[in-house]
Amino acid sequence: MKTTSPTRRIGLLAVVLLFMATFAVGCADDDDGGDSGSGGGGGGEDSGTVTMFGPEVEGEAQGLVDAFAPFEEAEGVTIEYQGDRGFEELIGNRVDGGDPPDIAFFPQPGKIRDFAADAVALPDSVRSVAEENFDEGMLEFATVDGELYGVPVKADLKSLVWYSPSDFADAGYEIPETMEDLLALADTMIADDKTPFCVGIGSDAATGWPFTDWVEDFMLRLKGPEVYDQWVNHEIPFDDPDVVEVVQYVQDLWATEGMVRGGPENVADIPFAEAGVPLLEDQCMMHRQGNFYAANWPDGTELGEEGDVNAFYLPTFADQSFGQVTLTGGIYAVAFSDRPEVIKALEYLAGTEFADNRAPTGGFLSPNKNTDTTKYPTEIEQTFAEILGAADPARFDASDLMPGAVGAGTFWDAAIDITSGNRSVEEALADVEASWPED
Amino acid sequence: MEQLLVTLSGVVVAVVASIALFVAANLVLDQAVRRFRLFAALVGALAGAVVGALANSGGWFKGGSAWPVGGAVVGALVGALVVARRHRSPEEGRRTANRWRPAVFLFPAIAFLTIGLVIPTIRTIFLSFHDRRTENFVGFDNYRDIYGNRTIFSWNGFGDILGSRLFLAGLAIAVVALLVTVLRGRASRRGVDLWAPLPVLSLSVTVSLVVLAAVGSLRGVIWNNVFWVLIVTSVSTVLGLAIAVLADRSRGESVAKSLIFLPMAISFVGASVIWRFVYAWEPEGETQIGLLNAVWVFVGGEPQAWTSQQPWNTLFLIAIMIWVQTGFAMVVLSAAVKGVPDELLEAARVDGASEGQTFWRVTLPHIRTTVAVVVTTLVILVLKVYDIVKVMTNGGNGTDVIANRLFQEAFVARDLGLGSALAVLLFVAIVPLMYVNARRASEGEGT
Repeated sequence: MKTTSPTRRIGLLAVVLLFMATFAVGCADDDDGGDSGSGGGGGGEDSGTVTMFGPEVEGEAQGLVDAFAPFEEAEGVTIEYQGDRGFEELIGNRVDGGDPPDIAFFPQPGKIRDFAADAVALPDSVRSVAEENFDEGMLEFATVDGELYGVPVKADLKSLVWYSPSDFADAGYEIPETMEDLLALADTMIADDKTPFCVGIGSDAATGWPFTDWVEDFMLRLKGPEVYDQWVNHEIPFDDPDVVEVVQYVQDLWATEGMVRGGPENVADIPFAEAGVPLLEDQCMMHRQGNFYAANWPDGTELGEEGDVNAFYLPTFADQSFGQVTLTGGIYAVAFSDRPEVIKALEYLAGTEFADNRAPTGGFLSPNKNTDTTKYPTEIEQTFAEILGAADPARFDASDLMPGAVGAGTFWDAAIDITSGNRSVEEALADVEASWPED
Repeated sequence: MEQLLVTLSGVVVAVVASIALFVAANLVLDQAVRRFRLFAALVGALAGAVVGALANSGGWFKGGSAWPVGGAVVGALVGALVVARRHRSPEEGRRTANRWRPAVFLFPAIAFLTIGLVIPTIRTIFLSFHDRRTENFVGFDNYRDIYGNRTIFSWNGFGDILGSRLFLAGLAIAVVALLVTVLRGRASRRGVDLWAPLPVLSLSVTVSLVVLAAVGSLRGVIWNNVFWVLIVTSVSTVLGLAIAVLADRSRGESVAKSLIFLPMAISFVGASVIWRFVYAWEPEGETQIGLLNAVWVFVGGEPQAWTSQQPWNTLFLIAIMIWVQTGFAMVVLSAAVKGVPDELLEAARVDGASEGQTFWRVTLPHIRTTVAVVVTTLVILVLKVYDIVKVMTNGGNGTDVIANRLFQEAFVARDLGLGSALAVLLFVAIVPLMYVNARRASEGEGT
């Protein structure tokens, strides 16, 4: 056994080499087959799979998947949705790594510009549906160099204040009609030994964003939509006196003795998801947070006028005339593949059918102006829809429109620095200005 | 599921193919002894196939598999007809085979290292000289950005160190200690001895105070990394050594050491989650669910948001790493302490040395190399700190470190240029230490 005959050795050698050659050829086939396979496979009874990746998880993700059921049935397409709270950190990796999802849901349209080079410019079939159903302004955020890259699929209403109707009734407080009334009400609450606001800006990697929402709401109310747009588009520097004034206004408001539960210097340590809950235990009277906070109340909390918590529109100053300025946010769907089933899925997303199918599952507010508002399952969601419909003008969340480095980076850092008292407003905003990427 | 099976079978095929390639290479070499012509043809075919595949790798020539196959045929012909024309004796063939055998054995390791380590390193260095989308060459701009970015690195506050009370106290201690040492040295006949407990300890205190003064004054990602390295390395080593020596041969040694070593079994992320609860903060008047605040409030303090308050919050994060790593230092140093020959210790005691002197003059010099190993290992580990900062603050409140910042820059802000430059910075900081460690390892081999 020890010495193999030369012929056998050569035979073995030949077998090994043959095997390797087969393997190499097999590999080559694999590479070629990858592209044609997915296209060719589409001819059968199954027209393929559309992969989706987004920040929504759990109930919201399920609602999204469920809303696609009629589409899957009609087109024979399978939808595979993957949700991850760390979406913002992962999507760049997946796209740069050559493994993009077919459709990604961006909560920050400002990032669409970053990804335009990799994304698919949407064809006219999607564009025409979208133009029918969405405000021009909403599509503009997703338009890069005249091409549409994103379809709005979900709206957030941010100019809201949550409160407890029974607490308000017991104390004899009225829903404020103007910002002056709201501030006077807050002073009354402090005088009554109650804490007006619960605030929490903690959100793991995104800590700071609720502060930016406050700043944006007050930017709209103090300086108006025009200055707001200049600020978003960097036509005025980030440390412009107007911006400094507004940020300082919010910080001063929070720093007012007794205004914020726990004091402003600790808000970064309170996760935003838990921040409003003490309202139910009468530890504070109001919580300014978007409609999506509805999902964060503990199980069994009744929402609505007769319930445990309700929400009212964050009012405007009576001495300003910018209209019913309303801060909104939202999620945009962006395609990274132009396969026909992906484009069809986007057409469906842009259409009214999707919104009408998504609304009944709850936890959803449609950016689609043709949505049937009666489809919303609860009274409070219809209230949200009304407020959103009455918005005049609406403005999209500024930090979500700014370049990622600022809107999802240094602006949040500044929020932490300012609230914790580590830096003055001027210093912190100068840092943000310095971080604005040059084109 | 189907996808998983495809992936798994792909891995299996790749492994089998690698083994087959390896066996084949050895068999080819065996041919050099008797059938040199066959050997030359096979080597030629292999080289030709590789060259052909490379030439076609970008799909430049649209030849598909024709290129590697053609290359193999041409290579085989060249090998068989040209190279093998000179007839070789079996002895010569054997020498050729022996010369190439090490290369065959080293090839798999080198190939994996090249693909997984060398190429990415070179690519990262290459990217660090490019703009955010890696399209244009920008020279040293990214490095200049690092230097110019106040949140990454600046000399601001450097002057504050000199004026801070911590620094002045440290300076005073050092001056007094040196004076005492010099005067004592003069008085006794042995001369000035700087390697005595008093000067060493007081100088250590001085250095600690100066580092604390720096923590209080300097801001920026790179400084934070420096603080992490200095504090974790020194505290873990000293604590580990102290525990190793004090627990040595005492009752309950194994229990004590097991307890200290236990945190090593927890991942950094797990440890961070635990410590988040320790540092948890609730508004004043509420039940404090955080251990530290519960104790703090019990003794009469106001609840503190430990991880939010600059500049000392970095120290609270550093404490986590010390908690995890002290066990490592202790175990390694304990083994070294136990390796000090009993005869030496006994001889010292017979000569009238106190326990302190025995440790200082006999044990410590004897375990010097082990201490050095512990220190370099810890420095390398701590330079790369990422998980703890990521979980605790994600770099907020001025606690950011290089590794977390480079992730943020490269993958969240999508500035690959700046991210790569930070990675290169970290790499450059680690390389000398790796070199020292590798040198020591190869020296150890000799003895």
